[in-house]
Amino acid sequence: MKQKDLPLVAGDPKNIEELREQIGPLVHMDMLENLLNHARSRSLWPLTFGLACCAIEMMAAGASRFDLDRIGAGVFRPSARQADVMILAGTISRKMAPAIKTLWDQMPAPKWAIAMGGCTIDGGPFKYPGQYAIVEGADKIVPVDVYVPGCPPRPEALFAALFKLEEKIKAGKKFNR
Amino acid sequence: MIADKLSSFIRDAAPYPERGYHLQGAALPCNLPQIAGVFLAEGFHLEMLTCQDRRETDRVFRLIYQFNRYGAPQRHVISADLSPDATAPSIAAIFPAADWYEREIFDMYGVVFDGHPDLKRILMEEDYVGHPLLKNFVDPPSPYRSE
Repeated sequence: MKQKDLPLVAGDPKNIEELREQIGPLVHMDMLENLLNHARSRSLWPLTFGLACCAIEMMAAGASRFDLDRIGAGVFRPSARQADVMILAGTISRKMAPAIKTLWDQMPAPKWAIAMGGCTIDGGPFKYPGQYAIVEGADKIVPVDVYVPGCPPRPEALFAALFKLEEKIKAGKKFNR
Repeated sequence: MIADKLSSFIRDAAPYPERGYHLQGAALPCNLPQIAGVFLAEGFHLEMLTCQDRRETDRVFRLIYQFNRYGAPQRHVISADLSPDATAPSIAAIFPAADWYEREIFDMYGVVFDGHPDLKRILMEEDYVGHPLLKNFVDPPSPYRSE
């Protein structure tokens, strides 16, 4: 860093930008953000929210045999205001779509979405030319982080999806500074 | 006997061995509330109410009412042919079970039921345009579809 060489002109925004680029951020938050991301990845609170038959597998994953609590993701919240992750488990009918959008908008950031099963990936068995009933893929409504194939996926597959999501959260900052 | 009470409303009644119903008959749409009243008085419940789009072949919508009860004679089917521009009388005041069936038929076929307490769409979103189970149905463009 050659701070002495900088032509500093007070009040000139262009020079301030150059100065920022050269000396970097004044306070480094990386350690804190890594710590926060680690905590977030190990306390994913899903929204209590099932759409169709995949929700049965989601409930099985939450119950004692598989036990989502082992990885900190078993705290299903009945309010969108307290939830971190939306597990879209089942066929999304068009009539349900605005309600899901509302729930997603009510969830505070940072938030993530898992599309569980064939229906939420692209419409699954209900997709055909001229169909009028369903949403062909959850990503038409909410931004999806992890897709879980299966009809329905087994609880182990949902666990795998949550591990992938943990990797994604730990790997980097989703939101810019 | 129920068949005697209904004889003034029903044409072309078919007997049980032939059709598998204890009574199957056609009626005029305007008589439907009276027919439903007779069935209610005899202890029947509305088992099913549906519709067929027969505009291409017969130029009608066919409403099909299925009544049943726990005791002989059991299952009765009444159909009523409705011209496409006419409205049907609602029987929701007689059989509350008909409320959602009539909403479904309105949603899927566009048949309007006179005297229904709250005739609005039940399966499709409320701002939807069109009636999906019509034979000439074409789904309008939707952001929820891929193509």
